[in-house]
Amino acid sequence: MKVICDRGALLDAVNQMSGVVAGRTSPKVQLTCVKLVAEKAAGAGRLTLMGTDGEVSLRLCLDRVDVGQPGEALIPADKLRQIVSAEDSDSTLTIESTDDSVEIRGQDARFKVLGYPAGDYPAVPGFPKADGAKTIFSHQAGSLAGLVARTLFATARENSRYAINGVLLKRDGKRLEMVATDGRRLALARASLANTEKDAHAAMCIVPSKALGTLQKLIQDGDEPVRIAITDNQVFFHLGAADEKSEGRAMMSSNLVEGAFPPYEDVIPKDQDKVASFDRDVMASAVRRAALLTNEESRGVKLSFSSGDKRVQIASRAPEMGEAEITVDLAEFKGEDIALGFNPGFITDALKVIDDPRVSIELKGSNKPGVIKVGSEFLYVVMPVSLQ
Amino acid sequence: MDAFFASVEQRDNPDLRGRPIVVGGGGRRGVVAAASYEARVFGCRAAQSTAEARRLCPHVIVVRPRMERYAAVSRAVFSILESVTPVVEPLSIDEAFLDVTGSLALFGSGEAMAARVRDRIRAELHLTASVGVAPNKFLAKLASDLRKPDALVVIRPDEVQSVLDPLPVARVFGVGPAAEARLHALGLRTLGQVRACDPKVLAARLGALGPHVYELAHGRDARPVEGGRDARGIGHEQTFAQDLREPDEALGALLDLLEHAGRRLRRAGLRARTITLKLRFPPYETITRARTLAAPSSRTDTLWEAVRGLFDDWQREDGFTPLRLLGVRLSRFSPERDEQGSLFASRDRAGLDAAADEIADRFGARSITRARTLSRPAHPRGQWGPEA
Repeated sequence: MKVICDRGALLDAVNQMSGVVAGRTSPKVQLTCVKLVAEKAAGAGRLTLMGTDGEVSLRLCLDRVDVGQPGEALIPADKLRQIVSAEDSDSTLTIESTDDSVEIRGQDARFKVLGYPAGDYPAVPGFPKADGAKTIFSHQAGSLAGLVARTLFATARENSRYAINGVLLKRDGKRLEMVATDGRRLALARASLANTEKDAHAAMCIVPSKALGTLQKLIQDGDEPVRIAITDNQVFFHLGAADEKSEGRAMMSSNLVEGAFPPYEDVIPKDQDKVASFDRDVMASAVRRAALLTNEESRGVKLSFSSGDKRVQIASRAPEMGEAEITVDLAEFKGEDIALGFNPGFITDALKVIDDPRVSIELKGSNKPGVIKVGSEFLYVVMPVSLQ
Repeated sequence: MDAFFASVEQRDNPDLRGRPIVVGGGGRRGVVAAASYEARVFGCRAAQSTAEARRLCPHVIVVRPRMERYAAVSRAVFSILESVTPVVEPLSIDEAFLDVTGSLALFGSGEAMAARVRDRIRAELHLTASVGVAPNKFLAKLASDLRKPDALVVIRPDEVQSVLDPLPVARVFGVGPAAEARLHALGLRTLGQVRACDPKVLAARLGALGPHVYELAHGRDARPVEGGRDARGIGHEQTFAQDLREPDEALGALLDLLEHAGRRLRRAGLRARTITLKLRFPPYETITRARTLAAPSSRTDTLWEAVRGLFDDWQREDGFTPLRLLGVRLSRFSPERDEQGSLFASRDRAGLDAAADEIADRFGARSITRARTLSRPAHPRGQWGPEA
């Protein structure tokens, strides 16, 4: 294999790969590598990079390459990234492989990296055909990235009886929904699918957090179409091509999280009787400042809403440290006065991902969940903290 | 406590007073859990087989252990200990370290507190305790053992060497028969001789144990008393006379252990983040599995979910095999006082633990229990109690 590539494009691709491949301590050494495949078709060259940790797989295609000789190579991902990143005075790099090594050359440099036989690399699955998937649909990359950003932060990091260390992805007709929870708060984001396809099968799956983190980094152009397929045990995201024939720019696939997602619809409250609306940034700043006087004994902040002066007071108290009080004017408040505690991070997490500058929270009682809503596209349910 | 189980039996049953008794199982694998001082005259000791005890002392009375009874008495003892300092580190069901540094202003000297504790145990519980007062854990434990039973021994800083020097090297914890033989080979029979020895020689002959023995021979021990909120873990474990062959039996026994551990956790006003399951397969192979919760908890239901999950994972991955020992341990305590609400928890159970604890405190540990514990085996051997 011999290929000359644009260094900038290669660096982007290699950085993406580094986030996917198995860590250096992995017992499967092939999974710590990137597989390079150089091809030539109709005069045009193409370099494909593949990486996987056995769960998430990524395939990236580079067109700005000059293929001298088609072929394959397997090279440790961390070395490849370090070299491509360090060769910053070169606009192009030449990659040439022999049976047991890969050579990377710049103007004044030559690196020979011992690799592994490319034949040992596991097969990276291709995008499924229509009859091999439960559902296949297209969506705009920008909107998809928005759904991920508004849910991924709420996933659980610990194990639990429910499969909540991933995000539920649900397609039902024209509606696309993502839901994440860690058992204490729940984030739900919705979008409408633009092109109604004949195949409107409802389908859902739980996508691991790592896969969605990778997807977020892959999305660069918000208008780019993304094709999504859900099969029995995998999910596929195909970026940059709308038809089955094209390889596209990138394809990521991931095994699904096994297990049951909790009955999240049951915990979305429907009878909230108090509504407060406020400026997003003013509230975020107030909660952050009140959190300065929380500590590990008392992490919660207390929100006291009063209808009389249309204000909310945000207070914290840390034993043996001190206390804080911040007052925020409300744009609107309906219902009786109420005071309740929240983990301040749970409030600011949600405010960070909301685009709308005006936000409202619906409440019911001091031991009942609060609901932050933005139209019908974002819903956030957060359980209060009972303060001691 | 002096011959704790045997003393409780003699206190409760006047017919046993002044007579040689051992508390232990009568079965095939019956082991002496405690021997009264009258029986010790004949050479009966804890950890002997009951058959051996009978051989040494043909008229010995073998009493079946009543663990609930001892646990209730133990609780009473611990609450007396906690009346002088919150920093109580349980060593077993009837032994504990107390750090009284913070209570000196309140109660006077360590000796005065020891006398107060012994007086209360005698007056309120009709039992005797041996107490050692010293500058560190090693010396305090040594002092408490020096003149058992019913003794109060104080080792003042200026007396340390005169007390330690004549003691045989085997009195140091960590020095077993093998290390003892190696010390003897060096001509070191007493701690005084060890103290005079070159530490390099000790390190060369004993490895890591060398510096340990050398430090302790000087009466130096830097280990803190880990009690109260800083305690490292609350654990219960149980060995079974007959290996458990049914998952249901094991789950019943585990829940029983967890109910007791959970009660102790709540009594200490703590919440745990990490739950560890310990399983031993005959004869000695032991595994532990741990799970960390998203938020610290003191609820038996929440903790049980984790234990159950760990047990199910083990069964699924390794397949069920007969079990000889089960253990549950709660650790990584959080000082957090606010209670974060949970979206998917059963809400009506908040008061369950508090109510059950109150009933158990008044009527005995097993007066109230979850029905599943009834599937545990009827005649356990060994003891549950704070682990050593």
